[in-house]
Amino acid sequence: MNLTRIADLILVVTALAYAVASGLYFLQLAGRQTGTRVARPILASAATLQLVHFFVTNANAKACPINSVNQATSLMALVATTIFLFVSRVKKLEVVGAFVAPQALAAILAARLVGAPDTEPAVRTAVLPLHITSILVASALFAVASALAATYLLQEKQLKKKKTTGLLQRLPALDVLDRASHRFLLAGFPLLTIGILTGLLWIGHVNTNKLALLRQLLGYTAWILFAVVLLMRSAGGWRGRRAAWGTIVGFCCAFLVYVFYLVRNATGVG
Amino acid sequence: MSRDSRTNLAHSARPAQHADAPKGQQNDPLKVAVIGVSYKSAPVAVRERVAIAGDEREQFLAQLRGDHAVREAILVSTCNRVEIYAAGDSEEAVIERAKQLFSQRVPADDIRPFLYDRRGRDAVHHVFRVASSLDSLVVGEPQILGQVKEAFEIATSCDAVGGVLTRAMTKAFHVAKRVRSETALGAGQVSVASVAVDLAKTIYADLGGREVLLLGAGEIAESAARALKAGGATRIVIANRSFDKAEALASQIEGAAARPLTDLPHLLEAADIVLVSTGAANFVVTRELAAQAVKKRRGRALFFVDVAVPRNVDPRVHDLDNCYRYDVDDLEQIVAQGLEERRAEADAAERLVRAELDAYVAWARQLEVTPTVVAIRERVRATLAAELERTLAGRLKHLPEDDRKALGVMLEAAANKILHAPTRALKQAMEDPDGAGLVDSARRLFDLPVTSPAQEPVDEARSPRH
Repeated sequence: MNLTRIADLILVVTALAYAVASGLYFLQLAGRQTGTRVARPILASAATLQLVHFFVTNANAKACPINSVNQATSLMALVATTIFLFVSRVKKLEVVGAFVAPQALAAILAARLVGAPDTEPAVRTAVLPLHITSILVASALFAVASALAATYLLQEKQLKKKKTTGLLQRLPALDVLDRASHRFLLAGFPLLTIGILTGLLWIGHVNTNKLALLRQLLGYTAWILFAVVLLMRSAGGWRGRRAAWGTIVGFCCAFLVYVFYLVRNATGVG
Repeated sequence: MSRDSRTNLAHSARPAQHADAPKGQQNDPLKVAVIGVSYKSAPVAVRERVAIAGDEREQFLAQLRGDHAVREAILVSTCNRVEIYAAGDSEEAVIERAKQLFSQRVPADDIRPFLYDRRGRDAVHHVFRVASSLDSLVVGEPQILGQVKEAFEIATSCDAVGGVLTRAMTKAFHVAKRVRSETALGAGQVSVASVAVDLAKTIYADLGGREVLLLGAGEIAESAARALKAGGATRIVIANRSFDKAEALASQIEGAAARPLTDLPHLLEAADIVLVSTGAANFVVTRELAAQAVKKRRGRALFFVDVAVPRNVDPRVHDLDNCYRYDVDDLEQIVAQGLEERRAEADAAERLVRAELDAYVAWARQLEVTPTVVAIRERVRATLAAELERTLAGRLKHLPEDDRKALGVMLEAAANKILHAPTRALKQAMEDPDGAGLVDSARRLFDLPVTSPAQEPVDEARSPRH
């Protein structure tokens, strides 16, 4: 069996592990006791397998993961999962895994299935690796922030609808979710700013077309949204629901940038 | 016969352990008695007279064990029950001794009608149910397990517990843990004050740094303040139309301060949790007032608990961003849901407790039959060893050492095969409540002294599955 097939096999097992972890976190969210204790170890195993997959793939191709958008997307999910595994040690935050694990699953499936793995032709300067790495880590932080924000909205909805049994008791308190989401946003924002600035330096070297412009526009939109959320929180007291929606929409924009890159690889357009 | 050829059979020359009957009586895991009063059997006026608090507990346990009838004892004394879990040679004697001691505290005629007792399996079942909070006034409340554990620790510290109660209590704690983790018996809140605290904790994880504002200074405010205090709140502000009343209540609650009700707009800006219980006939907190406060709070959440009737907080306040308002109907609905959920879960918990009890009783009965099985095996082995030795010293004295060894091994194997079926039958018989008769028959058949299973010694090294 050659290394490519081994890597594919590892990826399949990784995806299965993420799917099982997602299911178990949903069961936990639904108040089921069955198997919930193993959700975290399974998610950790999935992350470890994904790491092994990176080593096998890149040892085979003798390449760096950030050279390919597909791998960068997958790596972003891995970083987000790892951050979450540390965060979930805090009491009750573990249920946020119901959002993080599916995010990771979606990212690795998208990275594998949408578009052929493609090495970025121009990753030959010092600026572009810095651009990709900072965007990648920022996106991972935003992924966790958006998972926390989604949990916040869920908890807030329970309180507003006065649905006081079950879910309300299983989710973390609103202030914990709001604060944690804000901190991850705050940590990711400077990295995203670096990514945007280095991207601006690079932009002159590549061809631009409509899809590329749309991709850039989405990136700037994400940056503006995060900036507004942070600024308004500090200056205008934006907390809770508005901040949560801002974080989620911002992350969606950021994630769409990855999707557009993947689509470009698949179609050759953009 | 050489030492080697007798290896497997010769050790059976020891006498059977059934002679040690008194030791067996001490260790019968089902020789437990429970006696006491609870909220089910006695009104609080009786319970408070029987209650035994603090250092008095150790003294009481010493008195209880002063009589030889009681070998081991644990005293559980809470606001809802005063119970003795004890072990001794006879449950009757244990219960009588406990009754005597209770009568020394409260005249016998006053206390005896309220006392209940349980013996053997029923006693163990009762202990399991108490520890699992199935016998509690508020089923599923978590405090009782801690109280029973504390009672066990006190009894242990004054050497009042031995093998019987240690095993029963360890099992009871295991059962309680299973009930808590495998059923939702503890889910759902069951008092308005605890509901308010639990709801506040879904907004603020830690009430320690939060400011609690109480509007009103009546009994409800007082009980809620105490519940919030117990829930971790440290900063409590009390505002009331009558400032004197606010001051009076503030002086009773540590860390509380009184403020005039006229400061309400400013108080709302600073507070995180507002509990309203004034006697006002209209809204004390209007939507406009709350909106103004929310704006100045720069997005910090504000939680209103309106326990007043008629309501004191405009319901539309709940529609404001980062603002939550729950009234007495909402809270009582949650209380009802909590009770309903617990009732549903109680059946599952009862089933779990009964299954654990059956396992415990089966284990205890296995212990009872063990000495008989050992005695039969020893009798058979001793007979075979004696016959073998006689034959090897006589007609077969010419046999070489290897053949002698082979004969020893063959007889050991034959003994094991012959005894396998009777051993299994005896063990199975003890799972049947009427199985003791088979044990007696077996002892007669093998010419062993006949004793009741309860009098047989048990192996202390073996313990029930946890």
